[in-house]
Amino acid sequence: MTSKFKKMAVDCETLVAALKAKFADDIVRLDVREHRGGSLNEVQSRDLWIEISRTAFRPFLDFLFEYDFVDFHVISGDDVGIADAVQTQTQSQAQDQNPDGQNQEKPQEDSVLLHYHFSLFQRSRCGRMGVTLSVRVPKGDLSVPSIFDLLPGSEYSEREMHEMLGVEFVGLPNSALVFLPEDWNEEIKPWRRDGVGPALEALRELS
Amino acid sequence: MSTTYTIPVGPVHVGLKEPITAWLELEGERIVNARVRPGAIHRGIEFMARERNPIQVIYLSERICGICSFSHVICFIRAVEDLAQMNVPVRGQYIRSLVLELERVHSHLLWSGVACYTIGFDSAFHLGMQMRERVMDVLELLSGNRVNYGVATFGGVRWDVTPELEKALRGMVRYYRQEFTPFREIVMEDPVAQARMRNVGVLTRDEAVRYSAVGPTARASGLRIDLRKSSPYEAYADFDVEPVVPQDYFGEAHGDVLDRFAVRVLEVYQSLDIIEKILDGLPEGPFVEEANLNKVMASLKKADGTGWGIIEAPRGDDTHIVSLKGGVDNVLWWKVRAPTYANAVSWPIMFRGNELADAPLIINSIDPCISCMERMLVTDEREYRSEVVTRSELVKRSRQKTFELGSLKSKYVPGGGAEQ
Amino acid sequence: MISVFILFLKIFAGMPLLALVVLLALLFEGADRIVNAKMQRRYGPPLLQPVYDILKLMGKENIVPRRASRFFFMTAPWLTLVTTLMIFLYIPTGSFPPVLGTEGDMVLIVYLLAMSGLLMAVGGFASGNPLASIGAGREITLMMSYEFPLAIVVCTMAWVAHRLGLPGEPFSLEPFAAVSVWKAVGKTGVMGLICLFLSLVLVVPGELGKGPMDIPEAKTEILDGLIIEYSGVNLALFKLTFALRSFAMATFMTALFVPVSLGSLLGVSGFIVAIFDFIFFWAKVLVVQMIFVTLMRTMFGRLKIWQASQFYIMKVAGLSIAGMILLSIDVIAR
Repeated sequence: MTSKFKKMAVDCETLVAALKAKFADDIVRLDVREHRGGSLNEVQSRDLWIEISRTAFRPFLDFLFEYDFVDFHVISGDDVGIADAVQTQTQSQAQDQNPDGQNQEKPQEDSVLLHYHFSLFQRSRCGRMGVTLSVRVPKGDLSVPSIFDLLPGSEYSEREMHEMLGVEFVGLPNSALVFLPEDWNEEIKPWRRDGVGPALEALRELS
Repeated sequence: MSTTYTIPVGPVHVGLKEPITAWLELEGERIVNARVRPGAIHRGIEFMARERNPIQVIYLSERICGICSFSHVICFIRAVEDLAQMNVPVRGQYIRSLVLELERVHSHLLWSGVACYTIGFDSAFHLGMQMRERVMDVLELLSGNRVNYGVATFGGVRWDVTPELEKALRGMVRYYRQEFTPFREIVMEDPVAQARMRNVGVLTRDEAVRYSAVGPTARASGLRIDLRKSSPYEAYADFDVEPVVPQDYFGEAHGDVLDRFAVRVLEVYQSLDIIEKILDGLPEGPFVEEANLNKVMASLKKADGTGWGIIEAPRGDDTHIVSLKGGVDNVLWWKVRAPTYANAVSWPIMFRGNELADAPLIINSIDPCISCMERMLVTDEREYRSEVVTRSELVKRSRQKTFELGSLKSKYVPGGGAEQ
Repeated sequence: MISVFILFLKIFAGMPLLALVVLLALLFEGADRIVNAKMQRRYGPPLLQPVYDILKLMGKENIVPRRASRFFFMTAPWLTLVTTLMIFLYIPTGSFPPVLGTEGDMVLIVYLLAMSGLLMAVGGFASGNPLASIGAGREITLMMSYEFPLAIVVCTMAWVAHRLGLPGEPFSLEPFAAVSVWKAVGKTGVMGLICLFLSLVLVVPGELGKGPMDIPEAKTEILDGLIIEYSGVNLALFKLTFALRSFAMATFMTALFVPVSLGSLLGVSGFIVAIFDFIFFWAKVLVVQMIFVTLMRTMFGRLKIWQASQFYIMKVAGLSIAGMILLSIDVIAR
C-alpha cells in the first residue's frame, strides 16, 4: 500500500497552478488562506479551500494522491438549502477573482454541501497545507463516491454523514449507525434543516 | 475447540474510562474478530451549538471533554478566528500555548497512570495520579478551575501569567524533571509491564497512514507528524518542535502499546522544555485583542463563512469546522472531530491476533476520549422492551422508587404510616 | 468407635482455632491493604475494613442470575470456604501440634488448596456469565501450571524429612516445627532449600490469585471474572475465602521454611513458652504474608494467562527441580 503514498512536495503556488490547469472547468471556488503567528507574525501555514463539481470529485482526489501523503481529517457538511446556495455562490464570486463563473447560470438546487478536510506536506516545518474539498450534492440524488477504498480511515466520517445528513456513500461497505442510538429511527437525519430533520416536538431538553 | 463466542467489552467496563462497546469474537482467549460501536454517549453537542452564539459555544466546547477541554476551546476559537479574520496579541498566543502544554502534561500523566492500571500495575497508577495533582494545582492557580479552565476567548485569553504563577510553573517543571524519571523507569523497565505491552496492539506505519491515525498513536507507528512542527500555530511559530518518534530513541518503531507509552512519556519532557521556553520568552503587552464581549459579538455577527481550526491536542490533531452566517447570532453549524474519532477506526486492526486480556489495554492505548451523555438505556429481558431514559425522567423514577420504599416502611412503623 | 469420638472431640477443639483463624485472616488482610496503600503513598482503609465489608455483605441479599445453575452457584461458596478452613486443622501452630495431625498430612493440604480453587471455578462456571467462565477457565489453567512445582516442593521436603530421620510422621508438617530443616542439611542442601523456598514464593501469587497472577479475577479485563455474578452472603463467603487462602499459604510457608521458635531460641520449654510461641508463630505469618503476598502484589503488574502458565511450567518448575536435585545430592551423599 505504500506505493499509494507519493513523496512529491511542492509549494502552494505550484499546486494551485497545477490544479487550475487540470480542473479549470470543474472548480467552482478556490481560496487560499494564510495563517500567521508568533512574534514575527510570519506565514506559518496555508489552507486551500476549493469547491469542485461532483463529477470531478474522484479524479481530483486521485490527482491529490500524487502528492506527499494525503492525511484525511474529517468530513463536515451542512444542509445549505436553496437560498443559502445562491448566497454563497454570489459571495464567493465577489471574494475571489476567479473568472470561472460558468456555474452562475445554472439553476441552484436544494442541496447538501460536504467538506472533506485533508492535510498535505506534513513532513517539513511550516510546510503543511490544509485542503478543504467541498462538494455540492443535490438532494434529488444524495450520493457521492466513497473514499473508503483509498483511505479506510474515512469510515466513521462517512457513516456519520450518512446518519446525520442522509448522504449515500457509494462503495462504503458498512453504513450502519455510528453515534446515534441503536433504536434510532433512521428516517430522521438530525442535521437536516428540511422535513427530514428532527421535528421540534421530538426534541427533548437534556440537562 | 473452534467454537467462538462473543463478549462485550463495555459499554461500561472497569478498564475503560468512558463508555464505548467493543464486541469481541473470541476463540478461547484469542480475538478473532472485533466490532466497535461508539455512540453510547453521543450528546448531540454539535446540534446544541446551533441554538447558541459563538461566545456561548466556547463554554460548550469546553465541555466536550474533561481532559483536553482547552484543546477543544482553542480549536473552536481558532476556527472562528480563521473565518472572522481576528488577530491575537503575541502574549495571548504565548499564554494559549502555555496552557496547551500544561494540558498535554496533564493528559499524558493521566493516561500513563491509567495504562498501568489496565495491566493491573496499581502502584504505578497511584504514582501517576499523584504526580498529576501538581499540574492541576498550577492550572487551578491560573484559572481557578481544575478541569474546565475558561481561559480562552476570541482574540486572546482571559487570564494573565502573574509572577506568582510563573514561580509555581518553574517549580512544577523542576518537580516533574525530578519525579517523572523514576516513574518512567519503574514502568518501562519492569519485566511484567514489558511483557504486557510489547507487540500488543500493533499498528504498522502504512496502516497508520491509511487509517488516518493521529497524534501519539501515529507517531508510535513511526509516522513523523506533529502539527506543532508542520503548521505552527500560536507561539509554536517561535519554537522548533520535533515530533517524538520511537525510532529516534530506540532504533525502531514497533507501533505497539509500549511505543505509544514511550512516545507519550517522552512528550512530557518535551512539553516541560516548551513551558520553560515560553516562560523565558513571554513578551510584554496586552493578552487580548478586545476584552469587551459585546463588541466581539457585534463583529462576529457580521462574520460570514466557514472556518477551520486544527491543533495538536494531547491525543492527536483536533479539528473543528465552524460556519457562521452574517446577521445571525447563533452558530450556523459546527463539526468537531476529536482525535479519538480518527484513532478509533484503527481499533479493529489493532485487535487482530491479540487476546482478551489485551483488549482494554488496546482500547486505552489510543487514549480514548469519549464524551458523556445524559441518556441511558433500560432493558428488561423478560418483557422484551428497551427504552431510552433522559436524566429528568431518571430522577423522577428514582424519587418515585424512594417514595415507594419510604411508604412501604412506614406501614410497619407504629404511628408513622400514611394510612393512619 | 472411640476413634470417631476422638475425631469429633478434636474438631470441637479446633473450633476456637478456626474462629481465631478467620479473625486473624481478616485482620491480616486489613494490614495487607494498609501496607499496600502506604507503599503506593495512599492512606488506605482502616484495619477493620475487611471485617466491615464481610458484615455488610452478610446483610445483603443473594442474587442468582437467571441463567445460573442454582445448586452449584449457591453451594460453591460454602464448600470452598469449608475446604479452605480445613487447611488450618493440619498446620502446626508454634509449639502446638496440628489439631488433625494424625488424620492428614502435607499432601492433603495441597489437595485442599487445589480443591478450594477448583470449587471457586465451579462457582464461576455455574454463574452462566461468559466473563465468569473465562475467569474459571483461567483459574484452572493457572492451577495446572503451578501445581507441578508445588508438588515437587512438598514431596521433596517430606522425603528429606523422612531420610534425615526428623521426628514425627513422614509427610506431616510436625517435623518441620520441631527441628529446623535449615540446620539439618548441609551446604548443598541449603542451596536446594533456597531453590525450593523461591519456587514456593513464586507459586504463592498464583495460588492466591494476587500479585502478578491475579489473572482469574482480573478486574480491568474480565471484571473480577469468577465472582462477577456473586453478591450478598455468597460474595462475603468468597471474600472470606480469599483472605483465608492468603493466610493459609502464609501459614504453610511459615510452618515449612521458617521454623524459628522462641522456645528453641532461648532453649527453654513449658506451657507459658508454648503460649508465647503460639503468638510468635502468628507474628511470623504476618511478616511472611507482608513480604511474599503484599510486596509481590504491589511491585508487579498483571501477566497474561499464557505468560503466567509458561512462567510456572518452564521457570518455576525448573527451579524446583534444581532444588530437588540439590537436596537429594546432599541427603544421599551424607
